Amino acid sequence: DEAALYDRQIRLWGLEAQNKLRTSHVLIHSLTGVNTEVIKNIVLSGIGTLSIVDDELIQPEDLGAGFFFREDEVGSERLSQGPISRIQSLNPLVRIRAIKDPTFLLSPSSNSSLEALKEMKLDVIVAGKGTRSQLVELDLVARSLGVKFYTSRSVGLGGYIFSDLGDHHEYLTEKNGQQVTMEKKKIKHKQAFVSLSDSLSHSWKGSMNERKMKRLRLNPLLFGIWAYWEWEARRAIAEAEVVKGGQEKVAGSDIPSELEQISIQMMEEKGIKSQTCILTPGSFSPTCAVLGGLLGQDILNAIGGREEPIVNWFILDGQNGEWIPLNFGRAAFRRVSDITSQPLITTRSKKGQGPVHSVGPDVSVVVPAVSQ
Amino acid sequence: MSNLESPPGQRQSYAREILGEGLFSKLESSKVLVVGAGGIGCELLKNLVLTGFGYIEIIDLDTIDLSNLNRQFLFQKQHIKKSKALVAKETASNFNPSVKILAHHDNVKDPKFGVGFFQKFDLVMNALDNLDARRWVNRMCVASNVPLVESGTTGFLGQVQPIIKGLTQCYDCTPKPVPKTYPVCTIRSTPSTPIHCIVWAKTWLFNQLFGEDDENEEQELDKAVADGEDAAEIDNLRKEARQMRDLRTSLISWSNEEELRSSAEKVFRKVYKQDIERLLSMDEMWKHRPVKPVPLDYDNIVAPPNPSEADGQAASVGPGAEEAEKGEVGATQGSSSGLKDQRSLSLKENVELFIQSTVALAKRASASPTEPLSFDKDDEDALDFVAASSNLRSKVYSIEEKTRFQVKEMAGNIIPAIATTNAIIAGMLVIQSLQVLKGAWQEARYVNLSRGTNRLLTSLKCEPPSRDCPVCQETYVPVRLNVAKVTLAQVIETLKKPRANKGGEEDGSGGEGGLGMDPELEVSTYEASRLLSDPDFDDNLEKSLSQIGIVNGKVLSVVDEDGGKANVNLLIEEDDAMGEGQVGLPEAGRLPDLLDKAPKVEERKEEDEDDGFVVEEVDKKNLPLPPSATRGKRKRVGEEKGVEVELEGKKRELENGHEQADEEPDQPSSKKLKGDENVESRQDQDVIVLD
Repeated sequence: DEAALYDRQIRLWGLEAQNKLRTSHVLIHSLTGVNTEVIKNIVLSGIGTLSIVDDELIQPEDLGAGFFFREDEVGSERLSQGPISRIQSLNPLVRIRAIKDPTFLLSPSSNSSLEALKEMKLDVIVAGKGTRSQLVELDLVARSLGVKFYTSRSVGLGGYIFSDLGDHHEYLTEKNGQQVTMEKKKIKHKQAFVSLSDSLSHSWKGSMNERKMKRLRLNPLLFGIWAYWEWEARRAIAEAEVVKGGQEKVAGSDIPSELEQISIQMMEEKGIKSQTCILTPGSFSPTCAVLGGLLGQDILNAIGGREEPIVNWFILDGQNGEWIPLNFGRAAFRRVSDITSQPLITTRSKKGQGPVHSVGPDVSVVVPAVSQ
Repeated sequence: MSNLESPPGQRQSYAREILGEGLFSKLESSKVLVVGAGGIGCELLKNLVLTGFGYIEIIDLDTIDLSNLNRQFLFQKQHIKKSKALVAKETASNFNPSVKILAHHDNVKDPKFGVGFFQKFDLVMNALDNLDARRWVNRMCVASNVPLVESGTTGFLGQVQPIIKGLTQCYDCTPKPVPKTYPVCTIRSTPSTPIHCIVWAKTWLFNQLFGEDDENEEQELDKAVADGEDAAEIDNLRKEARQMRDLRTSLISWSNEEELRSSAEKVFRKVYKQDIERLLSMDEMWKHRPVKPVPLDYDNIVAPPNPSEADGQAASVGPGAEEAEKGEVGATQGSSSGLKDQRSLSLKENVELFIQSTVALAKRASASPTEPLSFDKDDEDALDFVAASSNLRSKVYSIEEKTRFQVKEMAGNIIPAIATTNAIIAGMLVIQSLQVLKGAWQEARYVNLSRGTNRLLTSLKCEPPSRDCPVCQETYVPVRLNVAKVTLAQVIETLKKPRANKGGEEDGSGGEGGLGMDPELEVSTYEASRLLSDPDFDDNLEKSLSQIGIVNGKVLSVVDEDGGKANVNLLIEEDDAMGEGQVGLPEAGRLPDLLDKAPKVEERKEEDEDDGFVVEEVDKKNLPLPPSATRGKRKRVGEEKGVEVELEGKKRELENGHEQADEEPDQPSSKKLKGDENVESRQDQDVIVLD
């Protein structure tokens, strides 16, 4: 029966990969739009255990891409019985665990977090939320435990996937072989990844000419996202100071222009000619489907040890009617220096602070850099 | 904090923001048609419902199967055997109750889905799994002038293609791969690969013993001779066929188990020993072939003279211990899931499986003699039979054997399918649909999903229509009439009348005006590839349309015999209110222009096997060409070989995935794909690729 259920995919990646899936353990942080798609895909495919970590309540906007939620559940926990049972019903063979306390992911290098993570015997972590410093820290911890790490987010029509499958990721690909036998030839590959921290501190300064730059196909959306992370980090520090000073809140500021400044500065520092990009916030179902499909398949491939993985940033650019995804960085990142860890102040994102789009935690408008 | 009371529409506040108020309200008020509720269809319906499309109709004639559940996430175990379209609607409605969905458990080729039906949509989205239905919908969209977004996946690969008449290529602007055929002699006498043996087992041996009495066989053999295949060998094949018929009779008219088993043994002795020995006696045949076949001796295999040399693990299975052996085979098959089918059988096990499955099929065939069996990959007995008999044949010819799992894929034309690929393609399909709805054609893209980091997703500008496309470069005219009261001659006459002045007739009937075809034009008429009349064949001209099978939803094609004008296709809409001889054309202002035909480019046909083609690998995959393409072919074939085209013979429904597992992609325009991916995406419809 199980073989019949998975027949069409076993014919694609083979029984060995399917058996690896069957015993795998994937942890997903936050039921975002992208992660909803990822969960659907990997549960259908028959992973062993799925642990979902989320402490938020269902917002009306979550219904736009979160098909595990129902209208009458708005206001209740994302990990309440309804959504969990719907996830389970996709595939009764998968073990589903709901974890409502995300602390161990937000400060993963503490002793207790490390213990918790070790005990889970994870194969993959997918972080759908977290500040830059939290993600960087979680990635380093995942690395040290030999757990494959992904983080992904959709921003309107675009989005990104970052993957770090460790220093020694091995995988098989198949090529059609001899005509007569129809036997497929298996080829083994190795791929080294760099940490999120290293990739963020990579600089192209001095090494790039016009032609190389073009070939790299760097997308401004990437800097939009990085600028947002930077802005978030600065705001966290500012807020911490405000709290110390006894004031009520951070003075309202012009966030888009702040972000623009940050990204211009960032591109200059990294030796990149600045370009324009607009980030529209929020989860959009079709984008989530594309990103969640790509990410879901990469997770399955990573576990099964099959197919060429995404290395290491994947940018889906939905701007300007161009739906050209961009990727770069085939392990090409040199280690320059580690990012200095920001003090970990976990401010649950305050809604209503963004000037234009205030609907959700992931949100903001970024209009970086116009100068050409 | 956000308002938790969720006023209607707030769920879509992101979509509104991202798309802008204008485009978003367009989605809300648009009507879209989704054809197919399978792998892509489920994902697509979810995306549409969540994004905020207001009105969706979905069509699928298929029902839910266990092997769908690894990707068609709107379905669960309790839904098996239920209608895909209906269950998909039911589940997806929960994602957004305010969307209106209408589900049709139906064949999209049903006449009720005529041009009138298609025209009510702003956009059609294909989520199909077979070439025939894709071509059909493409043609309906071209004829109705409704934009279409086409899609397909196979394994890790997939693509999305926006199509709008006159602006982009349509589905038939690029040639599609034709199913593989094999020379008769290769299949029947000189196989050299596993697929040859599987085709032999599935299309020849199976049908000889249990299938429909094959009247085409004689014709096929005649044709093979005409095509220059070895006449003496063909003659022998005829004799063999006659012997097979006798065996068939003895299989079906059995009186007890023992007799039946011995009939099955007779079949074995014939096809694996006598026939092979006869072939071996033909020295000519083996002169230039490296490996000669080796006949199998039933008695030696089942009861070897020296048991210690017995093939396989015969320990527990004494000669003639039928029950015991059955038990053993049964046990191995039932053990550890996923593995049973992937185990290689010993020669002895294969022989036993052959006998058992022959017996099982014979019992079924004799139970209902009027209903011949046909091969179905999901029929365990049939699959056992094909697996065993093809592997035994492989043994004879020293060809590599295949496991039951592999045989199933090759014989059943199974295309691997996964959730992720379908999700990505369905997402891209919606994204492209947004461009289409926006009317931003220049921004719509052909999207291709591949493997690996570097070219995972690529998008290309849509190509302009191909000038000699047999579908989108023709004229389509909806025609209202009473099919019982109008003759073919009257229709042609109306077409040749001059057009009424624009604005002259307001009642939409076209009044006295015609289509304005040149009255001197010599025309032939067709329904699909069926000839109804030509300048030398006028028997049907005075018959009413209903008498010659032209009814609601049919397309009557009018072809310029000299090839100067593009074909005119009349889309028949029945209207009982229309009177004797009345042909209702659209009002003058809405009549399409009559197009000229593009200069003829000589079509080249690939002849990859020198001894011509044959054998019904084709029959299941009988991929009907669009009528005009068929017509072209018909002429050519007729001229060259003196044979009518319909040589594919047997018809078999393969709508919406009866045959295939999942969406097959089409072959993306050749220049769009480089390198090895080409080979893989080609596999789909060919089904059996023996490249």
